[in-house]
Amino acid sequence: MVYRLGEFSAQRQFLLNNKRSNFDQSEILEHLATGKKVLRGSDDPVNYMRIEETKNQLRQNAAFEKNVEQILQQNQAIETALGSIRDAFDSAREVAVQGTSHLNDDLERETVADEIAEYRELIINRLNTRHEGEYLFSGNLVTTQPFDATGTVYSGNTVITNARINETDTIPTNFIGSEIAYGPTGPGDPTDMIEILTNLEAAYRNNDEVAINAELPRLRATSERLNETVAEVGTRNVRLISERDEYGLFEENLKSVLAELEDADLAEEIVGLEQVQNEIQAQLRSQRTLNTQSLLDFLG
Amino acid sequence: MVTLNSSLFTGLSGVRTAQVGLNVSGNNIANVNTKNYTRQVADTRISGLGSGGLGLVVGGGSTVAGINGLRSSIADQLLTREEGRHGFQDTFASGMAEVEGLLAETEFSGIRASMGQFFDSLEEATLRPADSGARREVLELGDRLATEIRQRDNDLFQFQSRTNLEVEEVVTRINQLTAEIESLGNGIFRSGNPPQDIVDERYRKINELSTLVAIDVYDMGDSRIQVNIKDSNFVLVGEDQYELSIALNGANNNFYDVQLDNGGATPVDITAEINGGMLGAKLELRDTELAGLRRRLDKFAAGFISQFNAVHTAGFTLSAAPNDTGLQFFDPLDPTAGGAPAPPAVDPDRYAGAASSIALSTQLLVDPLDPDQGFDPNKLALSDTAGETGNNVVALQMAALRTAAVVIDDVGDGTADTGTFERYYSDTMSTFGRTTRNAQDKLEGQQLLLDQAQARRDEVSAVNLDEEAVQLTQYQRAFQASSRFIGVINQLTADIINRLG
Repeated sequence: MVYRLGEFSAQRQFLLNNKRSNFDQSEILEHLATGKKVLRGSDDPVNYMRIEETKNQLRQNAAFEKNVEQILQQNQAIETALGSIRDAFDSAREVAVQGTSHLNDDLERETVADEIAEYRELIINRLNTRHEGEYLFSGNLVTTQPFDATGTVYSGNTVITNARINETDTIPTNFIGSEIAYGPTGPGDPTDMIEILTNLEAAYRNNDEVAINAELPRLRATSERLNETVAEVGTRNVRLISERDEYGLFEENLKSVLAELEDADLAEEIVGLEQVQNEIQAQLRSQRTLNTQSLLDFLG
Repeated sequence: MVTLNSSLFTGLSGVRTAQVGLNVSGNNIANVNTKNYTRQVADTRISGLGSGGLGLVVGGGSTVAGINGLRSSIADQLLTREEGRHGFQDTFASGMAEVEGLLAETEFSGIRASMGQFFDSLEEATLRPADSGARREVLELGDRLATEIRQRDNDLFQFQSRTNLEVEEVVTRINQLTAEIESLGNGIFRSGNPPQDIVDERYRKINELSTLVAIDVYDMGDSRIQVNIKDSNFVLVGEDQYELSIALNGANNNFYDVQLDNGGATPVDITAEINGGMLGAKLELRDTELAGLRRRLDKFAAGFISQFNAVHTAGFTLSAAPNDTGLQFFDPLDPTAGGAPAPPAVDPDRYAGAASSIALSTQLLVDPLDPDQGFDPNKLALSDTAGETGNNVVALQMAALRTAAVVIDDVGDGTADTGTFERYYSDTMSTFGRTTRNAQDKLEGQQLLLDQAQARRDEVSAVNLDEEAVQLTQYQRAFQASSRFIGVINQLTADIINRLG
């Protein structure tokens, strides 16, 4: 308790309070202008680290989500190309099976052989598919065309490329061209479709029934293998879509946490602004009263 | 016996006393706004004794024995101490707020944003390692990150340098003030009964000195004082002044150390002992907070240099030999400061200078002799096998550094012990924000303490205009009454003279 006041004690107190109120006001105005209540570490040291961690997590997730989206796009191209290869092979298989009933007709045999050759050419063409300028089926030699015109020479490699879809998991992003074309053991495999189609074409041109019949069982096995490969793309997509959906949920949750931590509650801020403005008005009014009252005013 | 003449002098003494009283009040009113002014009062006393006749003794009027300043040495010392503490907190808090402003980042600029974009570009490159656009992006954003780190470090260094120059200014001012205090002390000592304004002026100077540096003031008697900086570092003992000086410290960026010339053969370094006032705050900012911040930025930069170079030099580029492998990602190759002890010896400054020198390696330039041609995307090593254009193994390793938990050597023993990069940087900013907030809170608390100390002093020493108005009225009335008394005596004297015919 102070028993005697200096002339400007009240003014000093006023200045102190007024300074604090003005600071509070400018802080609230900053919150309203930016929509954030934490703009720098000193605004809320306790939560600042959590805000930064949440932002980092959001950014990382966004990067992984972008990866997932891009792999999905690439898978779409792979799926289209593989679907086209499978359809072409199935069509060739159909033609070959139907052709067995025309074995004595030279013209029809030649037509069947031509059709099979065309399908083989289409398949080789699809095996050389490019997506955004890079070959899809050349292993990781993405700038090298994997197959020559005959389809018998493979210039890619057998390296699987992986991509990160979260902090710990990767997923393969490519399919090996030689495995698609020749089967798991390479050229000469029982499901080597290039060899099968080449053999069938030659057999039809030569009207070699034995050779034709020798290839027919291989057609079915190869067709099944191609179906499995196409299904593998689907399996990968399922994993990717599930990951993407999870990122969607994560993003929602993290953004909600972030909003809780750093966003200004506009209603609360406006009420706060109202309060602090009332404070300032009261301070100014009382200060005006102080200034007008002094014994000196009453001296004659 | 009292004569009419002597009565006239009694009246005159009353007029003079009232006039002095009026002047003292006038002086108080005139100094109502003077900082730390001590209100004065006229010490009025009875002037001599005379005989009133009839065996009675009456006074001979009044006189002013002296003009006293109303002060309490306890309240004065309390205010001096709180002014010193406030000087420290005010300078420190505003300095911290300014640095925090320097470190402000937006969503799109600053180290945090650049780091995020850089890591994002690496993720992108893992998907398209052969794509020159993706490669170019990694190089561009790596360069931007290094530039941001360098710029931030430079901003902090500039602030340190500016603070360092202010240290020199403050030391100069401390010497000036000490000399002025000594000179005023001499004046007080010589005059015996000094004018209160000189005592006040010395008090003001002492308070100003205390805002510059934490001091202890001791009364040596005979109006002499002793001023110490922290315990035994005398800057003033009676009429002997000991000057502060500055000296360049090569081990601390050639910043100034503060020395005290205490009369010995060589000045004594007292930098570490100064911990209060504006000078203490500036040294704390320069040598503790900013140096600490830069040290963490150095470790952060060194982490990037070490980790990325370790991965990148082992990878393969799309360029022909000799640029197909072994290329650094960041310069310099080794971020360890010269003279650092061999690991595992701990040296907190092991990576001093890493933040100021980090740059995308010149080995990645199209032509190292012509930097204007820019960086060559083909020289980015993203593959772990030569000739594999779509091999992303090294790209994956670099991207994985984003989430690697141990990438930075915070202890300074040569081995990484903490991470991630993003968490370390966030933690650095968060810690700095906490210190800034603490400084602001302390300043606010200190402001209250200062206000209380000021109120305590005001209770004794401040001018109150209402009181002065009462004093004015009192002295005015006394002046009028004494004048009237003189008039009465004058009239009586005239009456007697007139009776003589």
